[in-house]
Amino acid sequence: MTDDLDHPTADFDDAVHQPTRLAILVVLHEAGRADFAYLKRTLGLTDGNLGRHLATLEDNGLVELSKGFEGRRPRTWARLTRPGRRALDDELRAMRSLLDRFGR
Amino acid sequence: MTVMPTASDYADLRRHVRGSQHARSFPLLVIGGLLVNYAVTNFQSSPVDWRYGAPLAFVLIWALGKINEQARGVGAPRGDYLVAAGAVFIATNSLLLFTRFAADFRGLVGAWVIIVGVALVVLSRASRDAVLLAAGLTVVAAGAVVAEAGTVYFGSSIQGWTFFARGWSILLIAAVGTLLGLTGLLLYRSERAEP
Repeated sequence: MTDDLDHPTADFDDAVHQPTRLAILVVLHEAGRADFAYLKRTLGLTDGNLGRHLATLEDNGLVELSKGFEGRRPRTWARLTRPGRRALDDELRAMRSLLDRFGR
Repeated sequence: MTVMPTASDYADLRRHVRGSQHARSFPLLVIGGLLVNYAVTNFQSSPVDWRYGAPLAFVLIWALGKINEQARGVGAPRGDYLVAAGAVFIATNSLLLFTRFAADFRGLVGAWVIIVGVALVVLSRASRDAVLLAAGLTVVAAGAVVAEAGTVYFGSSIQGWTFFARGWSILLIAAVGTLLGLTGLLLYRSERAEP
């Protein structure tokens, strides 16, 4: 039982450990912030799909969304929060640890 | 079934983001331009240009990043170029307090170029960028050569016919600047190709 708890997969956070959300966090980690259109274009997502994943990340306090206008055009920016940065670091550490177990 | 992306997928993603940010080309183009500018400005007659040139170059890199942020929707490169501008300004001007540098233009020019290179190295470490690191180390090396072995006189020397109007110390700085600028230009072209 103790072995199970020590297993690196126990460190995975469901909000983070999902390919699209992980990719969003990686982009935001690198860019600091990005707008909705850039994320959509870069990750090849639909409006609905990206909106859903961003909402999940925002609900978990991992990203911060700010909506505004540029002229008449609405523009939504996403920014990685401090807990988001920590969560991504933890996720990457857990993934590395898992790979180490396989000796890769 | 959802397939987790591999580490190389994320490495590609990071590369893509840096390309969108022009995180490499902007610093190389601007610092390259700064060093070429250093070479065509007479140091002895107008050292003031040199004092403000380097801090302004780092401010310009920051400004270009912010303009790009609005245009492409991706944040400015990490590593605070404004902080670097302040640090470079303080470091370069502080050297004038020391007799060794205030009385020896060769040492001063070399040291100022070294400071620019060190700033680039520090920023490259923050963004884990090997190209910027290599560029920073090259600038540091050029500054060290000029400080240690450069010619003392840095003004124009157009007496009789010579191909270059500057001594080799200044030409070395210009050559490194040109190299950085050309590398930045090539990188800019490839970064622009990113969707």
